[in-house]
Amino acid sequence: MNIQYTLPQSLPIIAQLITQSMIIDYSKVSNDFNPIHLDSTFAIEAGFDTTIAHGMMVLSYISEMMTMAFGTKWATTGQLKVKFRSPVLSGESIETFGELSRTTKDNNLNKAFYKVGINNKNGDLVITGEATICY
Amino acid sequence: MNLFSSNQSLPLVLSKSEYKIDSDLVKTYSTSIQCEPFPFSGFSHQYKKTIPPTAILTLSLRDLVNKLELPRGTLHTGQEVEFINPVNLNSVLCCTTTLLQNSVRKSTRILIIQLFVEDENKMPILRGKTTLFTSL
Repeated sequence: MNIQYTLPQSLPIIAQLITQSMIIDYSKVSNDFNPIHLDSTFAIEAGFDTTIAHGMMVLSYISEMMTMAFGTKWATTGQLKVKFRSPVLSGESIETFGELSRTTKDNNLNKAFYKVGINNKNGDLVITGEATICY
Repeated sequence: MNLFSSNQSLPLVLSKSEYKIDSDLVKTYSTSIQCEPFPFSGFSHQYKKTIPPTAILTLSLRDLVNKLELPRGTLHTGQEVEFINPVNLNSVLCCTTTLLQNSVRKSTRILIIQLFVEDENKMPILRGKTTLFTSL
């Protein structure tokens, strides 16, 4: 049986305000208490306007977007390769994006490649990369 | 671990840790991200207790910061990850991190660390690669 699967061209946008309280909670689950995330004085001395969110925390929203678009296919076949371009400051809003860039078929395995990333409120890229699913 | 040692033989296993994916852990993660603790429950009954894949990724790096004694201000600059199998609540996972590269460019130390997660039945769950920049 040949089941046709229609790939979305664009992925759903996820918008999120990153608060200091979320960053503190993420420090606990990740065990990452780097003061750049928790101490605004340290973060300012390091050259930022205030504390910054953990890169992996911000990355989670790309995974959320992929989950929303592809459900369990993401959990079972998803691949992600990203670069962290700029930090996300505490109190900043972010928005995900994702666009289909290409598809491949190799040994009956269909793969879809999406250009994905996250912008901050100023439209600056904070994460860019590629997400792949098999379908 | 002394990152500044010149006689490191690579690849070098940095940490190997076991975690039980209990409800407290999932709750803390989903609270921090403000996401659903079981995001696949609406897609399939089979996956009703499957946790977000990035929660596993977060766990896989958990011990690393302490083991490496990373300098304050270390930056996470790149991440690759492949989700191989989903993970349900109450699973026990074994996370291994391995240092693949430790190099210096200008005034920055570049660390590339491989992540591998498997469950108690040795079924692969996740593999990935993390790039960290630290100042010298």
